[in-house]
Parts: sequence; structure tokens; C-alpha cells
Amino acid sequence: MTIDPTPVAPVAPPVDVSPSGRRPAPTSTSSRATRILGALSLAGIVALAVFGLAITPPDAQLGETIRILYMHVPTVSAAYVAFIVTAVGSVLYLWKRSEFWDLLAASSAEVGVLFFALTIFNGMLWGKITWGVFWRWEPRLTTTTVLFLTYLGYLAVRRIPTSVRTRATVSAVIGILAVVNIPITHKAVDWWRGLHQEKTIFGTVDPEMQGTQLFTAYLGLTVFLLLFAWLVIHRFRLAWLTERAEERSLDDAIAARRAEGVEEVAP
Amino acid sequence: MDVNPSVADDPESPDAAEVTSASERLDLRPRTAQHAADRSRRPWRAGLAVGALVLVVGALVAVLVTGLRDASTFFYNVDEAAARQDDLTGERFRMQGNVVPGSVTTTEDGVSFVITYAGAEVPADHVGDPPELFGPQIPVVLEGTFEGDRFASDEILIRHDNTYDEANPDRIQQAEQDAQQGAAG
Repeated sequence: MTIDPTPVAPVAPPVDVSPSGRRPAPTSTSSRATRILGALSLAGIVALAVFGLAITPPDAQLGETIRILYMHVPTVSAAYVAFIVTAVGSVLYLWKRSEFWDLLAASSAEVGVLFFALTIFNGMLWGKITWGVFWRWEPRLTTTTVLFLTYLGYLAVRRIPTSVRTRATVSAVIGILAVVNIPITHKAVDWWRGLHQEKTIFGTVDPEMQGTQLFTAYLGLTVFLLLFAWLVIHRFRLAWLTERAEERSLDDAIAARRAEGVEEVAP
Repeated sequence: MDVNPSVADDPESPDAAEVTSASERLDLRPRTAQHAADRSRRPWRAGLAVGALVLVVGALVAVLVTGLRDASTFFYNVDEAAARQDDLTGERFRMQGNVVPGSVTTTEDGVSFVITYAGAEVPADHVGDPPELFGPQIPVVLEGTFEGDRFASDEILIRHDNTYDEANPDRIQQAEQDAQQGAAG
């Protein structure tokens, strides 16, 4: 919260245009842009379901279970993008000390944890069908667990009541340190022996993969990145409004104390 | 505009005009201090957050200590296991290799087959149903122990690689040819 040192106009301006200025709280976190984004995400999910479940042929080796890939790879990619956004937001917070970057980092981490949990869940189902087991402590799964727990820790730290500034600083440091685990997790399949297959995307898009399989994989990636953007914008706006509501309740209490000395206010 | 003079005239309050204008839309008439104290009235939230953090850190330590030890040598390849057979006897470990085509026979409580990697071959007896994708030339990881010269397995894990092919009879034939050549060479 920044306090503008310039004198206040006796009458409130119609609507404050300053992005961080004080204006009446909006009653919704949506805007035209997010409604379009949401509609695109929804249409994309429908298209992905049609391509992933019906149009693409089964895989020569994996059979029908290949269809899990069209969700598994996109959800983990969206989670990685989310955690990278968190790291960038954390760096920019420490640099600029602005509430915007802190809340963006936090919002992105929350959505990232959601996508990462989804990845672990659909990965376990896939593992059960292809490997024969839900889980083994092999390198990719172990580093994945470490990454997941780190971001759960990040979210837990943010919920410990403290000053806004302390919370932002501590979580920014965690947000930067935690991202180091992404390349380790991503490369775990190359560095150590494990069960998990090698990288599908970012590095080695399987050259054998082609046709509608490849198209569907990239469609899934696009759709989940859109969905991520849509969710994170809404989550950010909600976080922003929560902060404003907390400030306002404090302002109200101060105003109430002042008003008490002047006149009786009907309850 | 009905401006509350006690607030609007206060030069220290940058919010004065805003508070008044907002009160026209929202019922923001002075409430009791309870509202502002909402957060502090719920100390259990702090406890919950700290408890969650302790759990997460504990789990993290547990994973790093036990998980990474397990993950660092997730399996031995057949040739390595065969070379270290004396050391590994009596120890439970994982062994990775390919199923030799034509070696798979059904036994009364599972399957027997030969597993090979880098020229070494070890016969294996598996107790239980093999997974769906189990078959000739499929890379597998077996969990179990050496019983003499044979490997007694109770879990077969399929190691799928990252090649995806549309199901296609021509390609399946091609894959089988490759497999035969791989086995021969």
C-alpha cells in the first residue's frame, strides 16, 4: 500500500484511473479479456477431448493409454510455467518491492500446485497401466515429490500471519530457490536410471511422433497454457481484492473511532 | 454529496473522500472493532499454517533421505547384476533388461523367461501375473532376489520409452523385425 503524499481533493474523482489507486472495489474478477480467455479455454478443452479421446489413433505399444499423454504433458508444462512465473515475480518483487509482483508470484504458485497435483495424479494412473505400479521412488518421481512439497511449503509460509512485507520477502526467497528444482526434475530422466520415459517435449519431441498424435500433444499444451493464464489472472485479481478488503476494514475501523467522537451513528 | 465532515476534513486521511463515496454504494457505516480484528480473532489459522509447514518440511526431509537413496541406484542392468552376483545374493534389488523373445513360458504361479542386457543373460522366475505390456523384447525392471543363478522376481515393471507410434500394422511388423535383429545381434 502506498500513501499518496499529495493533498486529497475534497470530493472523490469519478473513477480513479490509477491502476494502484483507490477506487470502489469491483464486484467481479472478470473482465472482457478474461471472458474471452475463458471461452477460448473451454472451447480448447472440448477440442482436446475430441482429439485426445476420439480422433487420435491408439499407440502401437501403449494402446489406448497414450491418451493420458495429451493431458499429462500439458499439465506438467503449465505447472512448470507457473513456477517460473512465480520465480520471475519473486525476483521482480525483491527488486521493485511492489505488491503486484508478490501477489502474482503467489497466485501463479497456487495454480501451479493445482496443475502439478493433477500431473502426479494422472501420471500415477498412467504408471499403474503401463509400468504396472502407481509409484516407485525412481529419480523423476522422487524429484517431482521434492518439487511439489517445496511449493506446498511456499504456500504454507504465505499463510503464516505476519506483516505483508515480511511475508512477501520470505516467500520471494523461497520462490526463487524452489525453481532450481525444475531443471533437475526435468533432466532427472537423463541423469539417473529410472522407470520414467525420457522427455517428451522441450528437448526431445519424439521424432517418431507424428500426425494427429503430435498435433494433439501441442493442442493440449496450448489449451492448458490458456487455462493457466485464465486461472492465474482471476486468482491474482482475487488476491488483490482481498488485500484491498483488509485495508478497507482497517480504514473503516479508524473512521469509526473518529466518528464516535463527533456523533452517534445509528447501528 | 453528503460528506461526513469529521472524516473528509481530516487532512491526515487520504482516504477520507473515498470512504465517504464508497459508503454511498456499500454499507460501510462504522462497524465494531470486530471486523478489523477478524484476522487476529482466528489464531488457529496461524497454527494451521505452521503445522502444515512442519509437515511439509518433515516430508521433504524424509523424501530426500530415503527417496534419493533409492532413486540414486534405481536398478542394476543385467550385466552389472550378473557381475556382482555374489555381493547381491540375499539382497533385494531391481534388475533391468529386455525379455528374450521366445524365452517366455507360463508356470503354475507366474511366468519364467530370460532377461538380457549388454550380452549378459539371466533366467528369471516371476510369481504373479505379468503386466499387460509384458512381452518379448520389452524392457522391464524386475524386483526380487537372486536364488542361485536364477532371479526370483515378484514385481515386473515395464520401462516404456518415449517413442510413440500410431497403431499401424506395418510399423508393428517393422518393430518386430527390429526386435528380431536386435536379439540376433
